[in-house]
This record gives sequence, C-alpha cells and structure tokens, in this order.
Amino acid sequence: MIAALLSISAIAWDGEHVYVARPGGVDVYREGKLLRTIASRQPILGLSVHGRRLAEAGGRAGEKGEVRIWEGERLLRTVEAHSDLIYRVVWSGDGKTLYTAGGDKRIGVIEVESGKVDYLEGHTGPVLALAVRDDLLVSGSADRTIRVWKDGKLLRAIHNHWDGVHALAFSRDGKYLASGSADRTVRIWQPEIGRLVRIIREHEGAVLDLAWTDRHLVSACADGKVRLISPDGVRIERVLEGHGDWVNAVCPAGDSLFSGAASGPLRSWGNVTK
Amino acid sequence: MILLLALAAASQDIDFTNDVLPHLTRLGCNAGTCHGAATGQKGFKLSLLGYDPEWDYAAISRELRGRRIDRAEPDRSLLLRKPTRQLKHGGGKVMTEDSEPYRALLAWIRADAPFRAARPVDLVRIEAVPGKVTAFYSDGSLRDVTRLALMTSNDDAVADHDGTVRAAGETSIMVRYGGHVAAVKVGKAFGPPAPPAPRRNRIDDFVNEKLSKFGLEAAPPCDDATFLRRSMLDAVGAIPSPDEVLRIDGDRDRLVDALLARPEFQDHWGSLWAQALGAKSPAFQGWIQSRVREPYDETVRRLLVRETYLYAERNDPKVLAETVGQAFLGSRWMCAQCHNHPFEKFSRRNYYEMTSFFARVRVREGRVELESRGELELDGKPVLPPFGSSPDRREDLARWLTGSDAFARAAANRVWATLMGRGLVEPVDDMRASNPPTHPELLDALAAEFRKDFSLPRLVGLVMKSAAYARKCGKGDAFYAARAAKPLDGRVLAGAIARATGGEYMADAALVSGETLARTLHLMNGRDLNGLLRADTVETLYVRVLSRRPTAEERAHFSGTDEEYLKDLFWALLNSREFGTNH
Amino acid sequence: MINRREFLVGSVFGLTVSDALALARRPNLPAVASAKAGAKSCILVWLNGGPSHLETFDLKPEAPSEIRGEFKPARTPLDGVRVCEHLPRIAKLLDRCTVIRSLTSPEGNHDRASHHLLTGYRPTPALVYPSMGSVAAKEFGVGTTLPHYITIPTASQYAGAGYLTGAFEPFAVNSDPSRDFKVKDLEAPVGDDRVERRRAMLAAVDRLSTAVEAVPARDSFVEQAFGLVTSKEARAAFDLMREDPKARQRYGTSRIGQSCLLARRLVEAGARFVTVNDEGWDTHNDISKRLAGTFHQGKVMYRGKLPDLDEAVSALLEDLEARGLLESTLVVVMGEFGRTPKLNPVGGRDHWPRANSALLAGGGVKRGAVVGQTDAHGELPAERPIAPEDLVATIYHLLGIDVGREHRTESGRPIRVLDGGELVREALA
Repeated sequence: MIAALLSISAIAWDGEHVYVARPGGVDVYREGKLLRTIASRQPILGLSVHGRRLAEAGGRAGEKGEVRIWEGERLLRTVEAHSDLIYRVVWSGDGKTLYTAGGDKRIGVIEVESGKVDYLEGHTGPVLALAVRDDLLVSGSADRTIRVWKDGKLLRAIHNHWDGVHALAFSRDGKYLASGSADRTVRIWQPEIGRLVRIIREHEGAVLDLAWTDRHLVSACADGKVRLISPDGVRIERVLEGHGDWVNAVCPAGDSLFSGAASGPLRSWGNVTK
Repeated sequence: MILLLALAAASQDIDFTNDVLPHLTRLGCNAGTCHGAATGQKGFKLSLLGYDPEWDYAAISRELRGRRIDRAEPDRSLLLRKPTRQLKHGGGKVMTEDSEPYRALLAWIRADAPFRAARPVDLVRIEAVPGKVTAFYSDGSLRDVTRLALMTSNDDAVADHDGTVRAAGETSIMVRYGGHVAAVKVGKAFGPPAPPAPRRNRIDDFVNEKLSKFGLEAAPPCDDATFLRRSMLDAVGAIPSPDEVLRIDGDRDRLVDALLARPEFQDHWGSLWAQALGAKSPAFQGWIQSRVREPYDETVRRLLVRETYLYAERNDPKVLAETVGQAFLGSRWMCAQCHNHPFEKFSRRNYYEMTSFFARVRVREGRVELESRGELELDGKPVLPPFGSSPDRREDLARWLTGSDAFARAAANRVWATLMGRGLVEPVDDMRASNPPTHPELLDALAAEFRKDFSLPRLVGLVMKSAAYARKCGKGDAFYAARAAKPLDGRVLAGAIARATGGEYMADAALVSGETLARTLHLMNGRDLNGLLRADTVETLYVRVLSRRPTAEERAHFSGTDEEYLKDLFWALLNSREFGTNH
Repeated sequence: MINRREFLVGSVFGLTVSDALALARRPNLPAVASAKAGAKSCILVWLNGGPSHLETFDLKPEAPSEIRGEFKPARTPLDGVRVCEHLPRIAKLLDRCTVIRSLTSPEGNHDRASHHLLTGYRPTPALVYPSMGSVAAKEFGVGTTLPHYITIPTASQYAGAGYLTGAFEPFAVNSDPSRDFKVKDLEAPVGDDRVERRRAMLAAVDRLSTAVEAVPARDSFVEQAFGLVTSKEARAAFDLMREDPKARQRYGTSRIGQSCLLARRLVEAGARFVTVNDEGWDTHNDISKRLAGTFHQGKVMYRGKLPDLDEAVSALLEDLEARGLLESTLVVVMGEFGRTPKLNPVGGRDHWPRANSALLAGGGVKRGAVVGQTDAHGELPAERPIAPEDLVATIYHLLGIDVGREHRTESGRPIRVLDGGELVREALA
C-alpha cells in the first residue's frame, strides 16, 4: 500500500469488518488484515452499514452521484442519484431506505427494494451531513443551516452556525444531536425544538466528522486532531494527535476508535473509552 | 493553519507554490474578480493573487472531502475539467487541454498533489527586463518565468500589458510573480532627438536629458509677467498687485528669493501641508504653518512624538498608520488590511506591524497617554512592532521614518508636484516599486538635496529657479516639455478676486468645492462679486485682474468707454479662463 | 429626427464651430438606441447610513424577539407580502413597485459599500469610478439648460464623476428644500441684455487670450451656467414656491418630503438623474425611536425617519403617476447596506451588508414583484442573491445605457461603464 495515495474520506464498522474509503475504492479489513478491496474509479465519500449490508456513495464531481449496495462480496444494486457528488449516505433504522447528502443541494431518499429515488429540497448549498433517528432525518449544509425533516416535510431549519455544517450525529439515546461546522465549533442540540444546549469551541479548524461512543462525543478536525469530548459537552477530555492533516472521518469500533485523514495511514486508538 | 506533511512525491520535485500557483495567478483564477474575491466564487475561494499558498493548497486539495482533485483519475479532476469547460464554469474556458498550465496541474495531481517538494526551495526575488522575467531561488537556482508572470501596464494607452509599445511616451509594466513585484519601463520617442533645451540649474540636466531622448522640444520660457504671476501664486498663493506688475525688473532669481522670504510663504505652504495631512483644527493648521521654515524631519518627529494634534483628530491606530504612511512615505497601506498588498511587497502582517506603533495610544484631556493594554491582534495573536525598544514606540517609529529613504523622496515628490503640476511619481501618495518615477535620478537628486538640511524653502527655491519651472504653458506638456496649467484652488481664487477688486471677498463653499458648476455659477452671478465691480481703463483692468498689459488686439476689441461696459469687462476678466488658472 | 452625422457635415457652412458643437451635444438622440423604451430619467432616493431591512421591507415577524425588533408587519395588496407598519402608504402602493430583498455584498464599510452601489464597481485604490448619475450625464449629454445630474441637497463623495472628471460632477442644490429653499446664484444680478453682453465679452476674452488652452470641464460649466441663467423654465423648476401648496403638503414638510417634490419638478423640467440624499439611517442605537419617532403624553416629539419616508415616497409615486410621468421615470429607494439581524445592547443594529433591500418603481419596472428572499433571520439571501453590480446593470438597462460602452480615464485607459453584473430580469416589466 502506497502511503501517498491514501486520502481517507470515510470509515465504517459493522462489528466485524472495518471499511475504509480512499481513492481507488474501499478497503475491507478484518482483525487488522486487509481482506479485499472494492474497486472504484470514482471517488467514494460516504459509507454506511446496516447489518450485513454496506452502502457506499460518491460519484463524479460536478456530474452525478452514485450509490452501491453490497452484501458481503455481492453487489446488490447500483443507484444513480443527484447531479453531483454524494457526500454522505445513511441507512434508515429499518434498512429499507437510504438517505444521501448531495452536492446538488438535495437530499436523496432511496427506496432500497425498488431503487426509486425521491428528493427533499430546500437547502441552498451542498448537503454535507446527515443523521437519522427513527422518525427524524437531520441534514447539514454548506448553506450553514441544519434542517430537521419528519415524514418528508421540513420540521424546522436551524440558522445558527456561521459557516458550513459538515457533520451531524445523534447521541446513542437519540436525545441529542451534535453538529460540527467549518466555524470551528461543535454544537449540541435538542433537535425537535431546535434548542441549542452547548457550544464547544477549542477546535482550530473545521469540524469534519462526529461520532458518539458510550463515553464520549468524538470530533474529527481539520487541525489534524481527534478530540474526545465529555458527553455533556462541557470538557474536552482527550486530544488524540498524530494525523498531520485534515481528519475526515472518525468511527467507533467497540472499545477502540478508527480515524482517517487526507493523507497518511488509517489510525486506530485502542482503549480510548477508559 | 494546520501542519502539512512534506510528502515526498515519488518521482518529481513538484512544488505547489512554485509550480502550480503561478499558473493559477497567470490564468486569473485568483484575481479579485474571480476566486480571489473576498467571498470567492460559487463556494471556492482562493487568496488574492496567491498571497497565501497554504490556504490555496487546502482549498484545492482538502476542502469538501477533496472533491476538486481526483487522485485516482487525475484527468477527471474538477480543477481541470471546469477551466477547460468540460463542465459548466462561470469563469468560462480559461485554458485548453494541450496547454502548459493544464499539463502542469495534471502532473501535480498525478504526483499526488504534494505541497512541498522533497527538497523545497523558496523564491527570493524576481528580476524583470523587457521581454524576460527571471525568478531567483534560495538554493541559487534560477528560472525563466516570463510566461507565468502577471504583467499589467500602468498606462495601456502607451503600452499593452505584455509590454508592446502602442504610442509615443513612457510607462511601466508591473510584473508580479510569486508574491514579488518588479517594474519594467517601456516607451517610444515622439520624434528624433531634439536640440537641447535651456538650462539654469542641475534640475534641468535631468529634465532636459529625458526631453532630448524622447524627441520633445521644450516650450520657450514664459514672459516676465507670466513668471511673476505664476511664482507668486506658487510661493505665496496670491496674484501680484498692479504695482508689482508694472515694476517687473526681469531678475527672476531675486524675485523668487524675495517671495520665499515673505511671511505669506509660510501661510500658503502651511495650508498645503495641512491639507495633505487632513488637519482639521485651526490650532493644528496654525502649528503646521509655524513650522514651515523649520527642518521638516524635526517637524514630523515632533508631530509624532510630542504634539497631540494628530492623535486628537484620529483615534484609531489603523487610521493613524494609514495617514502617516500616506502623508510621509507616500504609501497607501490600506489595501493590506485584508490581504497582502496586491501591488507591493507589503503583507498583511506588515500592515499590522506598522499599525502596532500606534496601538495603546490614547488622547485624554488634551494629552497623549500611553496605555498598558490594547495591542492589535492578527489571527488571534497580538502583533508587536517589527523593531525598536523604546518605552514609547513612537520614538522608534519617528526615528526610523525620518531616516528612511522614502521619507525624503515622498516630500521632494510632493513639492515637485505642487510646483510643476505633476509629481515625478503619480499619485503622490502611491509610491511603490511597481509605480516608478518618470525621472528616477532627478527624484534621487532632489531627495538627497532635501536631506542636507530638510529646508522646505530651499527646496522650493531650487525648483522655482530651474528652466523647467519657467516654461510657457502648452498642450504638449509630457515630461515637462511645457508647463501644465492648473485651476486655482478655491481659497487662492477668493484671495485673488479680493486683490483684483480691492474689496472684501470671502471664500464661499461653492468656490472651495473645486471646479464645479456651482463655482462657475457663483462667480458668474454672485452678488458680492458683482458689487465689487468698478469701471476703469482697459489697461488698468487687465493689469489688475490678469496681471499683464492687454495686447493691441485686446485693446482694439474692448473699445467701449461707458461705466457699465467697463464693469462688464471687469466681470468678464474675473470669469475668464486665464484668471481662474495658474498658468 | 436629424441624423447627427449629416447635420455636422452641413454645419461647415453658416454656423460657427462652437455653435455646431453646442448643437451636437444637445441630447435629442439617446446615446444607444435601446430595444425597449423604458425610463427617460431616474430619481434615486438614497438612504444614507444603511437602512435596516428588518424595519423596512424585509420584516421577520416569526424570528425571536432579539431579531425581529419592535415593529409589526403591515399588509400590502400583494398576497403574503408585508412591509413595516410604519410605511402604510408605501405599503398600499406596493402593487406598483418591485421590492428586491436579496441584495448582498461583502462591503461593510460605509464608503466602500456606497461606492459599490452607486457605481457598480468595488472600490480600488487605483481609480474612483463614476456614479450612475455621472455616467447618465455623460451618456445623455451634459444638458445645456437644466444640468442633467442633480443632487439634493448635497452629494455623497461616491456620487461623483470619478475619472470622468469635472463636467459630469453632480450639481448640488446646496440648500434644504424644506427650509427657505434657495438655489444660489441661478439668477444674474443684471438684466438680460447685459447678460448677453457679458457672455460675448467672456467669449472674446477667452478667445483673445493666448495664455491657456481650452479647459473642457470649465468651458462646459460656463455653457451650462449661461444655459441656466437664460432659461426661465430651468430656473422655475428650482422654485418650490410655484408649486401648489396642497401638493407641497402631500409630500410632507420634512426634508426628504420637499426634496422628493423638488426631484419631481426637476425631472419634469428635463433633468435625467436626480438623487435625493437623505441622512440619518445609520441606526447603531435606539432603532425604534429613531425610525418610528418618539411621543410624550400624546404629542409627537420626534417624527421618525419612517413616517417621513413613507409620506415622501408615496407622494412622489402618486404624483408622478397622476402627471403621466411614472412610465418614464425610474424611482429607486435604497441605502448602502442592511443592518444586523441581532439587535445590539443599545437597541440598535450595526452594519450588515450581506442582506439589503431596495424598492423600485416606474420606468419599465415590473409592477407588484418581489425578487429574492433572505433566510429566516434576514442574515443572508436564501434565494436569488443579487450583487450591487446586478442592480446597477438593471438600472442602466432601464435607462437605455449600454454597459459595454467604454470611457477613457485621464491617462487614456478604456473602462467599461460596468464590468460584470447580471440583469435582474424579474424586476423588468
């Protein structure tokens, strides 16, 4: 593996395999060893797992988006959606729907069974982040807003960040939503009522990805650092340094954590929850 | 900013700053009208003219999950497909696939888009001569960057942006590459070398050399009456009295000396300096007037360190720094507030450093006080002056300022501009390497002369005693071949009307507004002026108003003798082009 | 219509050169034949200081209290479109106007923002660009009776001629129309026959003098000045006492009211671009009081900017329409930027160039259109962002001015009337 070619854009974990998206395709690891590579000539920016299924999404910048659904090594379906790259893809709780965040300012709603695609419109900039919690779908965009959708309709639009919203993640119990932005803050919300609960600053670059573990809210930042934030958002408990570049993705995996940056190898951080 | 790994590109020494960024600048991608605009274009923002290579690198290769470059299939990168218009591009087709910039960008992406080369080199300076621009690097190497440098003609009526001369005259081509700026002069003579023009002092050597080189014939010297009026307006801001007109003796040098010795010289030149400084309070203006005969460097030092006038009128460090820069160094720093100066080697950091001299200065109850806090910040960190250790940093600034080359040059240029109608550098507060003087050696000589004693009257006298100063007015005034006429300043005009009519005449707002329709209407219809008209002989009227005797033709034409006729003639003379101009 | 070129050829015989030049400059023909007959003149009501969009045309009643301010929205004849309750008369006329709500620019400094909106160009150290009025004066010919470009009472420094120099500077009336209004120096202090003699004498003095060559700006002013002095109609336009007192009252006794009335008279008399310069919109504090006025025990202590604006602009629009002038007169009401959505600690709003509103009417503008929208808090355009140069391009289009035409600076550099800027088609009838 040539270190230079690595630019990790997304990471996912299904309990057994770690999937790492980078130029050229998605590497699949198990127990620390590279199992196989799903090749792709197009960039892949979003990964999401549901049970044994993996959805990977990307496309061609300025042209089209594409989602592929795999079960193990079998390609179940390829769906073309959006007129620009897809930045994120997220499974619905019941695995029947896939949501995609499009560079064309739209949110794609893909019925997996049929491959039918509908769109949610409203953002005035590329959609960069998505999060799903049974009934609610939340999107974040370069237009600086967070939009909360329910049953295909806009419930509320939150104008609070003063730069693009790149990351969204629901807490494990679903009560809180964390958002990460290029304005260098992480904000924690009660999404139904749009109430801001906490702002975390101290990031020295755009916040590009977020994930909740049992013990922390984890942020991936363009300043090259991964931060473990206390779940009430009050303190940054640990700062993981080592990536010398924009950290694009962070993915909890049991007791450990994986993170990947715009250059350099995949990093795994064991025992971080202790 | 983040740390970027020095990625060793496997096969090449490609460097983003040296190999990629110049192409983007050359193609205009980071111009202020495109992605270099304050808010970028369509979500893609680059630093203006590439002054921040780290930012640009991150924007191109890291932003939005690196969508702009495709590391797996480089030729499908947005960075290549949009400017070649394979995809919609608001900026149109900027390059073709078989062009040098395309190949350079593609090679860079193929080498996995490194920021620094394995053995990085820095650009140290550039040198520009007509037709060639060379870049010099820290490892001693050099490169011909003619095709990559950004070239702008300062006057595209004379020469195109690539230096091709279109018309007779001279201009500079501003050359920009990698954050450095240089200027190349290009031009063409108006005709074959002209015979040498008259000479009265050293100034004429420089002026005449250029006239001869450019094939320009000097206008003859003006007559005595014109010289009297012109030198009085320039030295003391007033027109001659009829008596002075009738008793001209032709000894121009003695006349100049006498004018410089008059107290009105201080009033007039003091007002001019006060205007240049934007001094508002009468006390401030009065102080400046009182200092006209004192050494100029000492005056500036006192203004910066001892007196409160400047600080009382401007309480913002940025405004203070900009005023000081413009008034005393002939430099416009304002551009660098938000990005590196686009025309000069003066960065945003430099701007804040110069401004920091004035941080912590406050005026309280008529006294200047230094506070212990109030540093300026840049990107969240305090900025300190780049040199000096005195407890009052303005002392350091004053010492450096008055000792710098630019200080004497800027002052000499302003004096020259006031007397000759056009500075050796124009605009007078925009002196920079990319805007060179029309007569560089002359400016150096004037500055050197001024530096001897910083005496303003002596410098003024030197210019006024040259043959260049004494030429007739004419249209062909390039390079001071003839005198350029200028409209009278409102205050001076009011004084001249008072003198010519022998009555009281106040400088109305309409007059002071400069050459406007309101001024013309006021002169034409103003009751106060109308009330000052008196009948007198044609001879007397011309001498009083235009400070010369009428010609035979004029005498013959204005042959009426009744009172109203002569009053109307008086009126016509006061409203004439000749009266309203310093010619 | 006389073809200009033919006429000049014929003018070698029987006319002096200066007469021919004077005639050639008479604006019988438009500078460029425009495809559609739109506006002949423009009245720009310039709200200096930057009027809050949230208190005028872009209210956000559903926003939190620290954003929406104290004013309530008022209905207009347009469905779902509301403006400030303190502009009730303008509100009723909204079906005759276009409101642009999504003007946006990055310039938050008064000078830079004013320059951008008045000239269509971002300010640069190299050059001061000419304002729309000066460009109009140049395109239509300077005007030999009434000056074509007039400002009431004075002009902002960016409303000038820039590199077009002297002759195209605005003529400032320099007097408050609501108080003892008198434009100075319009009447000669001597009788008509002496004026004629003075004119001839001045021409002779200038001609016989060999000291100075022709000075185009000053020479043009002399011509314009004589034009004004000898034209009773032109002088009458400036005489507010000739207006029916009832009409004067309708505009309101405020400065902006009487200025709008004067603007109408001037446009009627042939001026092509008149700017009413209204100060006092830079409301960094006490916005509600400054805009809606203050009362004490039922008495009005201070009327407030909005009621005066409401009275003035509504009277202007109605008056122009009644006189059949609305079709040919473009009216633009705007300031250099909007104001911060979040109210500051002193009850005011600070500069906010990212969102700004403008009101247009007459002269080929679409009736009853609302262009663009800002987001829920009035922070940024949510839809159809419009840059200052786009608005300026649209104004030039309505006036029939070709933006591609190049002017030359003093050093001979060619510069387009406007560089970039897309027409706001939604505002065109």
